[in-house]
Amino acid sequence: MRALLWKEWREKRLLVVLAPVASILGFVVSLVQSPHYLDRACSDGLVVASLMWPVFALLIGAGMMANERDRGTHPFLLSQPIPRSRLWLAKLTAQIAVLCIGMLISVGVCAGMSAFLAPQAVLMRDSSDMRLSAFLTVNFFAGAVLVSSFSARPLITIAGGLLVGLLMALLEVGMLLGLAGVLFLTLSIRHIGDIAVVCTMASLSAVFAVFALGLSRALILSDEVGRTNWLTRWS
Amino acid sequence: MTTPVGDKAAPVIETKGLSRRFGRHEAVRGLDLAVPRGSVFGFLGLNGAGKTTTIRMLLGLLRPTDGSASVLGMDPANDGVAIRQRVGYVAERQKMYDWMTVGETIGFVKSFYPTWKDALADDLLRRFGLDPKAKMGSLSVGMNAKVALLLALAHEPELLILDDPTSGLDVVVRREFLESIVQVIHEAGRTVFFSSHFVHELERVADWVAIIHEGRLVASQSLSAWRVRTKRLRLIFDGQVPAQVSVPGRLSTRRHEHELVVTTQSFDDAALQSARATGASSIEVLDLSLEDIFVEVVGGQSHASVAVERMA
Repeated sequence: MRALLWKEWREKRLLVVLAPVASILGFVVSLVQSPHYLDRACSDGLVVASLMWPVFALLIGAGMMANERDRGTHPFLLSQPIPRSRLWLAKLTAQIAVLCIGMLISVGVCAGMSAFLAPQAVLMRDSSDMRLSAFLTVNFFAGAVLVSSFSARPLITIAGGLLVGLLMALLEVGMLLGLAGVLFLTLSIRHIGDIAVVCTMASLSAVFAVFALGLSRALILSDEVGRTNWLTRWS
Repeated sequence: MTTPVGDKAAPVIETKGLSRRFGRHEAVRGLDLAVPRGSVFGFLGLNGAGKTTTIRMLLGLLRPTDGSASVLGMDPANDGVAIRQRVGYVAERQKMYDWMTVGETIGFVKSFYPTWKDALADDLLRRFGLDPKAKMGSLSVGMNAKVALLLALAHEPELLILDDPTSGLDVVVRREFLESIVQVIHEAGRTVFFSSHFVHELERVADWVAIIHEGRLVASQSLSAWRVRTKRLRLIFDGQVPAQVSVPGRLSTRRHEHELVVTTQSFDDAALQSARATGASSIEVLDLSLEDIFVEVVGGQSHASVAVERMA
């Protein structure tokens, strides 16, 4: 398990380095537009960084298995005496760790810049952008991991992960609206609190993500080296 | 067809009616194999004959659509991980991680084998002339194959499965790589399942040879049995060659004006008697190399299958 985690970390660590770039870019762009508002620039840096999370999630999730197939190392890895379930778990753990570290670094860079350059700045004046990003991040990651479980081409995996992630997000929003409609019709509840919406969306995202990841695990467990089916041929 | 039954120990690999279908294509059809313990078992077949599919089923990487297999007394369909832990496997053109160094690749693979021997790995590194600091991506195809062989040997496997390991290597590197294989085979005295389409390679190392063609096992017997039982008979006639000639186990027949050349895979006294009964004035018995035997056997099978298809 440790060796697998080490390998995944070595392959993905560059993405972690890229994470603060978005924060700094957002800060610089904001500062160029309004040179005298350092506090706004710090806050904008965090918004831009959070908007990059779904992109990171997509890139990291898509590479989980598709990279192995693309490089031709898939048979070598699967021919090692490791249970597929452990292989899948190690890969998933490593991807989640890289994603979380990347997200933390992007927030940390913004917080650091703010502490040094504009201590008076309020970083999260409005957290709706970050909430939307977090919501999309979960869905894009789960979608990309699912498509990566049977795909061989990274670009197709990214596009497929984006589609599946968007579909999942739309379904979740649809279910939330449906739930609100049911509450209105049965209990005449007109207003649902912010926390209730966030909790419901988080729960729905978690359920959909668990379902997608479970499907990915099943695909990896049933993966046969050398077999081609309509899924692998298509992707 | 003869199989190595009746050996002292149970076969290391045994398959019964092993089959694998990919859609409509039947890659392996009803394979019955028995690999004797301690043998160097050559698994010979053309490209696409079903060798790799068979090996993948033996390692539990592919599920058979029919039949069963036993490797070291375990069922690959259920005990794939346990089998792979006790088997050394070198795949055809094995692709490893280019960004890793040789040392890192060894460290990575080592963690999956509880029986890994560091001293043996170091010894093999030295003997194969590998630099542990070299990046895998910078290695030549031959050196890459040597790393794959090292990884397959350093955990002291009971069974070594080589799937066309010299495929893609040029003649010089292939010979050098084969030397390494020969060296380790004779040193350890372990069972080796050597799949290849290079007849000369197998002839050099194998003591038992099975020929697979279009997914079917043509025959499996010791190399000496192949040589003793497969012969070419040159029959010279004073007059015209008779229209009907019956020789048991006939693989091919070539006619000339006063000469008939028959290749049989069941050469014995009875076959010789049958040849004499044709009225030939002289009979010459010619030995065949494994390559000749392979061409005759596979050629005969191809003609037979074509004939069956035409009849259907």
